[in-house]
Amino acid sequence: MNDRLSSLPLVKANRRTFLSHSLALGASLAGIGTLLQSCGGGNANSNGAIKWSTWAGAKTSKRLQEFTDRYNRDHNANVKFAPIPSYDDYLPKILTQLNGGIAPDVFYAADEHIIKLIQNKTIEELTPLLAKSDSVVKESDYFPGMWGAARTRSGKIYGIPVDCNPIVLWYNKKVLQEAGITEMPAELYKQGKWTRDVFQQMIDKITANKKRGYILASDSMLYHYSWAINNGGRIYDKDGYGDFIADQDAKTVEAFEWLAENVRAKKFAYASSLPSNQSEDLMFTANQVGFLSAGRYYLSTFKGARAKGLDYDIVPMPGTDGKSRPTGIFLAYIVLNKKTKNPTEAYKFLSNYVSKDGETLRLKDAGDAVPSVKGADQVVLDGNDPVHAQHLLDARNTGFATFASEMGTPGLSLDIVSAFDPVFLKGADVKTTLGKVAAMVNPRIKQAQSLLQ
Amino acid sequence: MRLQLDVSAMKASVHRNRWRRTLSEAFWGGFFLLPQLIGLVTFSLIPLVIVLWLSLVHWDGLGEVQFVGLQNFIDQLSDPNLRIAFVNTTIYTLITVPGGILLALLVALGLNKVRGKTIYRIIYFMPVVTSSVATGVIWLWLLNSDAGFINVLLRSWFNIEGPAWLIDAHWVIPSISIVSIWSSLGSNMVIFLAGLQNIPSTYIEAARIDGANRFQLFWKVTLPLLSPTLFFITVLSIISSFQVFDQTFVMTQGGPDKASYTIVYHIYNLSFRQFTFGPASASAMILFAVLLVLTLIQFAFQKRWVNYDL
Amino acid sequence: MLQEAVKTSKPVFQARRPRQKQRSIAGSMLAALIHVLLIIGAIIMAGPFIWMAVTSLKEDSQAFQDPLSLLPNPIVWQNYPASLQAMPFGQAYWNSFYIAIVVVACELITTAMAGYAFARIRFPGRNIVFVLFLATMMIPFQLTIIPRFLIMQRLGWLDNHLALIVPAALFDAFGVFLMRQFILGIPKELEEAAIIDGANRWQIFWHVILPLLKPPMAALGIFTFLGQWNSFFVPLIMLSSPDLYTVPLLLNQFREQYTSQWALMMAGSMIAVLPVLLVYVLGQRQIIQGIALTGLKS
Repeated sequence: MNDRLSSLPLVKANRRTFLSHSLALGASLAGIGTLLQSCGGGNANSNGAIKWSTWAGAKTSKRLQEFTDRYNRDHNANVKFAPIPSYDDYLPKILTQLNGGIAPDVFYAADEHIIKLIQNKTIEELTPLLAKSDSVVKESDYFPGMWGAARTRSGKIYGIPVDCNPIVLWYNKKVLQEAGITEMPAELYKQGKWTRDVFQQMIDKITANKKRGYILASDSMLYHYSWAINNGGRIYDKDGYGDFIADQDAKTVEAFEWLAENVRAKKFAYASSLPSNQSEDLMFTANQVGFLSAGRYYLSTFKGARAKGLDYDIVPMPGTDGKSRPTGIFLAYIVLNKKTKNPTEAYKFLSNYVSKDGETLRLKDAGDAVPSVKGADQVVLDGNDPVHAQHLLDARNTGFATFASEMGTPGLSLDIVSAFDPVFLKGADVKTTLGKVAAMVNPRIKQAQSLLQ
Repeated sequence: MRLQLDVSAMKASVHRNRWRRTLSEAFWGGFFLLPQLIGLVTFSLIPLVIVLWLSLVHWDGLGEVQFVGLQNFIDQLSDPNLRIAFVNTTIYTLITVPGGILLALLVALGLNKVRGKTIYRIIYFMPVVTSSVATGVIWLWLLNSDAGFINVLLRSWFNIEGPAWLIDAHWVIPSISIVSIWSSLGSNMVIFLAGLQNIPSTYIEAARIDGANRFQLFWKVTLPLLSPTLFFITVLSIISSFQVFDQTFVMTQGGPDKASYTIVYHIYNLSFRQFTFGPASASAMILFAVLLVLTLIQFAFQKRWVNYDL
Repeated sequence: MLQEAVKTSKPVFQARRPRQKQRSIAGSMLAALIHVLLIIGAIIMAGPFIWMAVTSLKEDSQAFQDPLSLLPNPIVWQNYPASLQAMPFGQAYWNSFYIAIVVVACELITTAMAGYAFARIRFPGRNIVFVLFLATMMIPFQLTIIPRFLIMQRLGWLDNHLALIVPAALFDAFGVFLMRQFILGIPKELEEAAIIDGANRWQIFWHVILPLLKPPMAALGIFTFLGQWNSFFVPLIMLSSPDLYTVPLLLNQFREQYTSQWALMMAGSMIAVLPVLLVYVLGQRQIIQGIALTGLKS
């Protein structure tokens, strides 16, 4: 029997056993090490530290990091800034982090993001916090048109606008003058003569001079809506919380048809048909186009081009009667993570960020937006660039944020833009397309609304 | 009498032993199986149940769950994005599978006849072990329409202006096909090679004696004997082709303008970018159903052409 | 007559030794032609790697303007330290490495155990459970990845390496299948001797079976190691903090952030790919045999 034993690999197995034992030991040590490492990593926020995030390229990141450092110094705080470089990636990353329990305490939400966050109840309702006596900011500190999708129909506020970009018309003085235009739009506006017909005349002159009159942007419907509203039309009913009714409103249809006609006649350029290396701001600085609709975000680019001879100013969008109507405003909000471990610190930073002082600090010098809070206007008027910067403030005071219905339905905005491509790229009929859009949009709105509590 | 007592006692003890044995086997079976069993249940069976349930709800993992029944399936089946994804994936499969298999077969046939198999094998197999991300990055550079090696070569040697491989909607799927074929040629080739080498040389010799020329040899002897391997590779290739993701993610992000938007990219988009798990799960189940049907069809047809006579 | 030959002859497998080719001119010309084609093919297969290596040593401008030149001029070794500085490759390497090792170690043991159970232990329900294992191999992973994400979320393992290690270590139907097949082929006498000596199942497994499992363990081990190292989709979904990233994930982020800096990107890719290629060249026989095995077993 002993012979049997020795013939078995049991004896040889001693060395093998040793090897396999040590392998098992090594593996289990590594495994235990992993467990320890993973268990120990969750307590980052226990010392009053908070993390905040936004989408930001390198330049903006730098500025916001300086803001954060200054806040930490002034308030003896421990705030960490962790930007997400790409805007397209932003919401997926935030949602992933929320799922993983590692989301920032305070973060930005664009107008198209915020409804999703309200729906899945991951952000805190700010109305009670704003009402508290020791809050640095109050609901009334912000202009009424700023809230948009951040405020539900019942008045609950979930995000505070960090700043905004109201749409105005920027015009290239040189291009206009070379086309034989003597009175600049801003002057005409002061005299109450700035109408769409006058605008059309200028466009015609510019086109006759072989330049483009105006570039119709294709990254948002807000521009089109602004034209329609300035024409006296409506887009959504129930103050933006209801259905898409643009196809039934004669003035809106007329406005869209006017846009389409000009694009067809090549007096307007449709942004997505421009070659990729000729974006609208490049065309503007190269004196190839007369008018652009934009917020304040091109200011630093245009300002920098003054050295090369660029001269520009702004004017509100032309209305039917010489007085402008509300135009669209691009907005972003800052929100509070419901599961933050330091709610007091987090709200303190948030409210400070959007206070008068906070916004002024962020927007001065190379500021690329307009303050959303009252009392910080000086930052836009300082430096007198553009000369009629007041128009930006006026547009903000009377303007409107993107409609809650549209923002509340994921992906809807971009789908509507795509739905209009045939009109502007291939000359499809406006009325039919508006009808198709309504047919596409309204069921989706209803479905999204049914998910909103 | 003592004998009778012994017999029943023996029977009883045999029964007890058998029962003890079964118990012991069950214990040991469970013991040895436990880790993998836990894995199976937790990471395969339970997820299957969950995905079934997920396809019937609206949920983003964070908020509330809303039951919607079959609405997700209805929505997805009429979703133009899913349709685009299906068309793209089918075209991709139609290019990649026949092309890849043909090339792999040709290489294996050639390799079977020459010396130096090992060196060739090592080289042809290198792309297989390389990470799909690295492959994507390298080919992103090679296929760059302005400064990529391929277009520059075409320009300077042949004076042809090469297509915008990854930016032109008509060329993007063929481009991704090329990358996929390049990546997987080695492993298909190796399997074919093994299949070829398993064909007994006596059959070949017998056919030669009968006066078969090279062509007849291939069609009547080699191919039929290779058909099981061919079948195996075809089934697996079609399945994996329908699941293409890494290349579309690394090289084109589904673009340009959804020209390379594939089914798995659609599922990924719905689940981990838009966080709509309901529709995503419905799409995944639709994909599974399609794969199942395709595989069953192939299995049904195999009697026609696959030769198991060995 | 061919049919008769098929039926009557008992094939003797000498497939590894091709008989001497007749040295006809046509024959050697054909061989030469095949070689030429194979070499062209080999250039296409290996070319991209060579290109990656060459480009990684160029300056960005040269990479862009002069992609055809084979020699970098000047040779910019600096791209490598720059890559390492731009992204925490060292950390990613460690992550990929230890995850792969832990997974392989655990998985080899657990699949061997399961394979042994299926091959040798007659427990109730054995066949059903085995068929269950096999059936799961047909489920596309896209079907289970969403629930797995949610399970990890509930467990709190999102953005944690456990989400990558535990499923891979505990569940590998293919490995179980492989082990079972192999163990079935081990002669029972070896175990019977140990049983007579009074060893219990665990001792039999540990001392008798396990040492004999070197071949499938080697193949499975290398397979799994490579698979874990190159794994992309699962880490993409489970991890969000860059310092937890594995090498493919980091390379992807590299691509997103440095899109137009080709030379740098090629250096980064080289860093990601070189160790794998080295392991491959050293262990290629095992790997290729393993792949061939899967093809023949079916």
